[in-house]
Amino acid sequence: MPEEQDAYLSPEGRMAARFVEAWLARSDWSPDRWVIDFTGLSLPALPREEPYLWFLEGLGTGRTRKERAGALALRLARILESAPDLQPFDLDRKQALYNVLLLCSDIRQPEVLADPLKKMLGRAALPDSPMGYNLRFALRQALMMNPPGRELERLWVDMAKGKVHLFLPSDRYAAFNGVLLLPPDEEGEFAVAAMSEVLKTLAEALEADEKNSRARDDRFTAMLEAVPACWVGEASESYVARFWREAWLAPWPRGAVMCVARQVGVHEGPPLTEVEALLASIPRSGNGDYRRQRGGIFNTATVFVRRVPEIGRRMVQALSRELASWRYEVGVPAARLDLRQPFENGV
Amino acid sequence: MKTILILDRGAGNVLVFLSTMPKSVNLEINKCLSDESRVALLNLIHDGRISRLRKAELDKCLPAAPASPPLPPEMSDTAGRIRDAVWTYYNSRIAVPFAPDYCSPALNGDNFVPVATPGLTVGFHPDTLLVHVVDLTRYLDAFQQAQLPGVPGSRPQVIDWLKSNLPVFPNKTVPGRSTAEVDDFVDQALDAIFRYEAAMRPPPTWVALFRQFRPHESRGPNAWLQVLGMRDSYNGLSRYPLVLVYKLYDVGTLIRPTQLDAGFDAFHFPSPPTARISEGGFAMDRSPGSVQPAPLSEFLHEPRRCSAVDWKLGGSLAGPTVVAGGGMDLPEARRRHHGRLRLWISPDWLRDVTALF
Repeated sequence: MPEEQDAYLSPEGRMAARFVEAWLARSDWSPDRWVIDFTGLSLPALPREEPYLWFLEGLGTGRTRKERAGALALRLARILESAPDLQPFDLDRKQALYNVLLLCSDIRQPEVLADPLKKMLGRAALPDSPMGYNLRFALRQALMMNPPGRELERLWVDMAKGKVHLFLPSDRYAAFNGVLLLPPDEEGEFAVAAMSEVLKTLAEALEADEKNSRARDDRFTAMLEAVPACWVGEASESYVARFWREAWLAPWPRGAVMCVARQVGVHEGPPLTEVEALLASIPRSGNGDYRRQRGGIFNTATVFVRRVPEIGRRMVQALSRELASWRYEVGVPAARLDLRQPFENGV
Repeated sequence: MKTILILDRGAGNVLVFLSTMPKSVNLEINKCLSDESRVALLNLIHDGRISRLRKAELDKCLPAAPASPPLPPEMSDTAGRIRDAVWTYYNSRIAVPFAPDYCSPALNGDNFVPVATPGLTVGFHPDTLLVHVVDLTRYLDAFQQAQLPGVPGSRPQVIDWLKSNLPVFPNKTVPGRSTAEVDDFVDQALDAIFRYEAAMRPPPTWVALFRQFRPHESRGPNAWLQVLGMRDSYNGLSRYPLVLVYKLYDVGTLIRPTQLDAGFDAFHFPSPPTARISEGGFAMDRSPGSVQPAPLSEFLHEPRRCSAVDWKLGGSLAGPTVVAGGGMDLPEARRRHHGRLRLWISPDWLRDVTALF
């Protein structure tokens, strides 16, 4: 049967699949063997750098992959539950645990793996070895893919804000991935509020770190695009539209507001009710951020006048009475928004 | 390598050439077979998702050229032979218990939907919810084979039997039955379907994104089938859809469909070349109404054993359809779907091809 299941794999893949199938079927397997298995000593000689890649190839695709990944996760959980991080490490044990953790980071089985991984994080006993087999890095990756519910949401947001985690290697962009891979809540909602916070933080960090505005926009846009591509199938208001609102109100750096506005045009078509509701919600005078918020609308309008004329037209109409004073208040050159041109073109 | 070479000469004048046939053998698709076969052939022509290797596999399924005339009626033209090739391919390479071609990385890897991982964030979230609507009335044979309690002997009684065991939308409970009893029946029915199909020819499971499907939940059983391109009645009999929801990581590999995965089904429609892989294919909505709503993305995966857990995750939705009579005909459904695709996905796609309908 396994040979039929894997008929479409390459010869190497079929060999890996046969081994994985036999390995999973072994009733005498115990966690005592894990160092041998995951340093590759028991594997057939194949040109793979690390054993975990070899196991992944042997999982196959489709239903077979799901079934094997489920059985493999149970074995990996047994290894993790034996607290391998509390035993003395030599190079082989480091390599084996590194492979176990990276294998966890490639198969999503949070029901089985989240708890033992969380306990390993709680023990904080993995050695710090940034060179070679970086076990803490591998644990971070495994936790991203097998999150214990939303428990780590705050950890990723703080990491994105630049706070140094005492145990896991801190990286703002890895934190973005961590939030992206958090599971939806009971209502089926992904971590939109946390993602909004992270995007604002990353926009500010990019503003400070990346002087080339085009490169900065490209990087930020790539992150923005990753969100709807990952949290697919939006039913009503889109994630980008929500970020757009946040970008005005928070407010995000100006370049980031423009990036979000461009994405709204790309993904949504004209969300006119959103525009009108926002215009109504922002006060016409007062102190605080109102000037910057209206500046955000101004910037967005400059994008929409070109990209989605219908929205641009409405925004310009709604704002036209105030534009004269705005030029001075928000410090945007008047030439950025040529009010006559769209109407003269019949928009 | 033998490949199918298909030339599009514009509206109403589409010619098909096959490398395995003499060039003198060609046909005008508009004159061939039934409407359904004609548009299925057109789907093949315009489906840009079929890899060269898969076309070569399809080529192998072409029946050998008849030695001399007169030819049997069903083999009398190129279209008939392509139709036979598609069904042979479907039955031998798609609806198979192990290693179907749509799961082959070599043959169909370009249609694998990427899943986000810590190292690759451009992909679907592994917890993405998928919805699969199964029409229970199609599986009377499976229920009889599994000897489910009280299963009727003929089709007209199926609906009554299902009504006595399952909720009738909008209800979520069955009078006189406990929740555990209903769940148990759903488990038994789904298990019977899985075993029945595994023993026969298991077709790929077609799914949509649950978040896109959700606004249609309250519209009732007819709409559940219609928005996914399925018939809401058959020969004047109503149907009994059951809504199943599960996570992407429960299916192993999610795949963007092609015409080959649908057999010769004319209610499939190719997706525009500009559509991203994450948009999948697009289900042909059969519900009456305007052309405005965006089409639902559709995908497929290898059959999996579903259970009452999946049914409850979808909100315990089940119920018989109402037979309204009439229904949308094929050309109308295709014309509207094409309009939707041009409105939402690709304005310039197939602008001038009226022969598609």
